Amino acid sequence: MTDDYGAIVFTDIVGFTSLTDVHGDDVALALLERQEKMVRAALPPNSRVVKELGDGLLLWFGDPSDAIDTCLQLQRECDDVNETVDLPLWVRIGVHWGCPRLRGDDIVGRDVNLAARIVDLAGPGEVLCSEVTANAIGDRPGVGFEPLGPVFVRGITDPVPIVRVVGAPAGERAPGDPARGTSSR
Amino acid sequence: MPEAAAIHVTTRSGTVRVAAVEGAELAVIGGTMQPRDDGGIDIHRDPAANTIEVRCAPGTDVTVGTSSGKVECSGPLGPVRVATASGKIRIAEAARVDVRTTSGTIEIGTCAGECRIMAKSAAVTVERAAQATVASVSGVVRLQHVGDAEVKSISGKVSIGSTGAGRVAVRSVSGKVEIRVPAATRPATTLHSTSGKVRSDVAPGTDFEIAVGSVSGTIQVSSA
Repeated sequence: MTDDYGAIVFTDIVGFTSLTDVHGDDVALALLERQEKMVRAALPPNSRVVKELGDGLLLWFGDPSDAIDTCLQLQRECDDVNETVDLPLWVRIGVHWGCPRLRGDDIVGRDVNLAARIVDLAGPGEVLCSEVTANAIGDRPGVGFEPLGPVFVRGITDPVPIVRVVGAPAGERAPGDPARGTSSR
Repeated sequence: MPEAAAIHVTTRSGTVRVAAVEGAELAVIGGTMQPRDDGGIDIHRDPAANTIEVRCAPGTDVTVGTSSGKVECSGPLGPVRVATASGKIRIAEAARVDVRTTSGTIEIGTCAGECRIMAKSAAVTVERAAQATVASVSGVVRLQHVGDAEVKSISGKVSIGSTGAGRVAVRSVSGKVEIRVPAATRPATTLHSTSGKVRSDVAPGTDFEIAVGSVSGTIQVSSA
């Protein structure tokens, strides 16, 4: 049975192992709870937390634009909160549009594996996605896609075209937004 | 003069050398070229070759995707993007840079625009950049002459030589942060470390902004 297409999203706390080592389990737990609370509060309808994965979350969105908008919003919220706290919550996010198989409430398959590899390439505060995801979204005001090129990722035979998602403040065009005239996608 | 076609080099391993040479036409040794729909050129390593060598025109847009190995770019290139898991990356001169890797060594010579580096445990050195955006978990970050700089680091040492031409913002958890400013400049500094020492030898002013926050790392700002 083939299941529906959707946006598969992995979040990951940058440096979580080091932070836990230096600052202890209580601080680690607080960071996890801060991440989960922010994510759950940001989820739109037709999306869900599939499962927790150590210091990250696996999310599912029925709509790729919802996924990207939510991810950018999450990063903006992290930036805002990080301005006010000693210990920053640095989250990196990877997104892939694909058709995984359902296993109970879980999702599995190549597309899930690929999304997990995309987040490995992201830095703190970044949202990366596959070019497939960017193409599924198309032109979207306020969202730009900057190509990073075909990238080899562990466990996937062929190189995968990856793009960096760039948001813009309200009323402005993002770098890489075709309407801004800088896209090379 | 027509703009040089963007090149995309992919190889799972081995060495990639890209040289921008004045007057050069695109030439490849150790790899094959294939035109892309977008007008660019894909370059793949020949199975028998250990090294791909590319000669191209100055200003060429270069993308390299690899898993491991060495990436060396020489001559004045356009935007350069490198994504790899490990290995040594050296980019001598580029209009813009985006490098992401897990480990290894990253050396950037001169970057006219944004120099974006995302690494986990790599040693990062940027000699000169108009704008540097660097994130590292545990590697050492050295930015020798930079204008705008934004650095996020968990535990590695961060050393920045500011040109005084932009804002320097560093957020660190436990690594030491050292910032040198040009003599006779007076930056506006916001320096905070929850449990580490904070020391500034520069006179305060409004020439440019330095903001450093750390949980337990030492912060030092001094004149060059």
